[in-house]
Amino acid sequence: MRTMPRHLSDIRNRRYKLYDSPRKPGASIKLKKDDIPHVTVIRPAKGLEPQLYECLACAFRQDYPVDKVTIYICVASQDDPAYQIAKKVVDDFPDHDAKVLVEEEDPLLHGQGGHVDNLGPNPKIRNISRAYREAKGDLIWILDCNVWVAKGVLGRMVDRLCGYQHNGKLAQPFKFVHHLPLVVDITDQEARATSAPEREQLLPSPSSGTHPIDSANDGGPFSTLGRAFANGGGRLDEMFFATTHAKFYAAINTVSVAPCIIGKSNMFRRSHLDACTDPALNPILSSSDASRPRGIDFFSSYICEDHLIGDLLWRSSSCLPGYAAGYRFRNHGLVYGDVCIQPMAGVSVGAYFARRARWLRVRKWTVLLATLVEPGVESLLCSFYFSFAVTTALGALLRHRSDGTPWASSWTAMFVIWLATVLAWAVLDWFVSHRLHEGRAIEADADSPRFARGTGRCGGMPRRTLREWIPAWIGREVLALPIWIWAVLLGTTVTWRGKRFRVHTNMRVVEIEARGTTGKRRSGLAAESRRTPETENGRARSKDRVD
Amino acid sequence: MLAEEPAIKILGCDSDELFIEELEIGRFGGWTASGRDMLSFVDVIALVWGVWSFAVFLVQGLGTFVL
Repeated sequence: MRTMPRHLSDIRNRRYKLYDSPRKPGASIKLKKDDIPHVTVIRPAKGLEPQLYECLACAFRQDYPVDKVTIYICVASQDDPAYQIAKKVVDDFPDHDAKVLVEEEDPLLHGQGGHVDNLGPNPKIRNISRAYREAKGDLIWILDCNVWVAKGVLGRMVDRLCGYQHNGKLAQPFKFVHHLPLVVDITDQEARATSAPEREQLLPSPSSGTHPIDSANDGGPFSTLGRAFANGGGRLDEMFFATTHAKFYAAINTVSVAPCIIGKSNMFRRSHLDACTDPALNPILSSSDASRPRGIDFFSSYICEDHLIGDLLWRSSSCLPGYAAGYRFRNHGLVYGDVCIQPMAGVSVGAYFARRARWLRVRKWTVLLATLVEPGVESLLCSFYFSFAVTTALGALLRHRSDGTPWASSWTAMFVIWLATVLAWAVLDWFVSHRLHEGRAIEADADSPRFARGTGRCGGMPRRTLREWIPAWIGREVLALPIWIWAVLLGTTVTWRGKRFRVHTNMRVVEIEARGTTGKRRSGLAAESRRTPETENGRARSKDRVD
Repeated sequence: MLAEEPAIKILGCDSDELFIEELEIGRFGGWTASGRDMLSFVDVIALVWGVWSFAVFLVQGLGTFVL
């Protein structure tokens, strides 16, 4: 009897509407104490992200045995605005095994025996390198500082990674698990919740000058348009993550034909990553990789580290512990039903454009083919493809049966079909985005911040009206192609935390020398590393991040 | 290709020459009596775009189903 491929049987067996109601607590937390895996939560932080305290605190509020969790919040320096918030969170949860790790105090990079050249320029990897080295237990959960997750997420993530089930049986474990990301634009909430002086007190930002929320609210003849441009970026990001991104992310991860991950909330085993990055163990690595450090540091000279980690784990099997004994792992597992939510405030349309362009430029050399065809999955262009195909086929068919050119093959017919397809697409997106933002699957409690309660609950965010939703949807769809053209066809540089870098085809990054610099162009890992401390001087609100 | 249709359409006879309208069957990617591929550039584009957009709709449908 033929058996169905595993990912297809997953679809068949899975009850749909996984995002409709809160899921059960993880089976792993009901194991015998000694069997519960220890998890190290690593939170790279940079700058004052909106709702930073709540986002950092969510890791401490997990429904998981406290003595089985270690939390490391990683910042570049004590001058980073995130440092004080991180310290406060750690102080507020004294029962937890938690520490704030400062990159400037990392013995690998500074002090006796350390050297800044020991790691490449990737600021995120440099931030979390020490946390990875000092991790307790085998499971590593890298959770960005600017995302929030519900209290049961850790338990269910461990279930998915290790294969624990409520019936006591073990499913085949995964190498890597991750979450569907969502963005919630809280610009209006922040503007209402705090006056400007209060906000300045909460978010000391000496370099930022006027807050974008204030600058947009100062009236004037173009205040509405100005407000839209000054704060509309968050709404566009919210739309992107709840429509196109969510649909394709869920679909690609369900059929599981290729790695498709975003590095906001990822869990894997340290033993796996150490083995995969060791050329002596992993046959898919080349001899040139022998000079690179092991573990997470292996990716320090590269941009797009989240994809590279996932991709290497995806392609590596024989080097994993237990392989010789017949132990097998599935590749990547999306933890269905759970989401990680990034609150966003005061993001301009220009910042949205720049952020999306950076993502595309970084991805361009990582997944070239997917990037090249990407415009074709957007509504306006895909509907054009469809309407052109239909009218061409219909026109030919009808012309064959009658004399003359039928109306069905006219430009008017094509426009009508295009419009109908775009409208149908928008209606589908309306339902998908509202379903996700209702937050029915999120376990909300007294500790849940407003932005995470969903639009379907009392005390949650207001549901977007059609009048609010349509301009955001049209804006995102219209901007998709110009962003792609700008990012993919018209350049290879990215602005990364205040510095410009060229992304090479092998995904290594090299800083572009500032104008007027007469010094010889430096290259290679050592030279890149020497520049790294300068690249950390990003804006306080850190919207220059790639991640 | 339209299987029900005649392979060639005889338009008329002039002495010993037979006129056929090749486009009648070439339009849908069929083959003419002489064996030349009559699939036009526009047809190829339409075919590729049609398949592509259909695939995108399927992927979207799957994503929506899962969500």
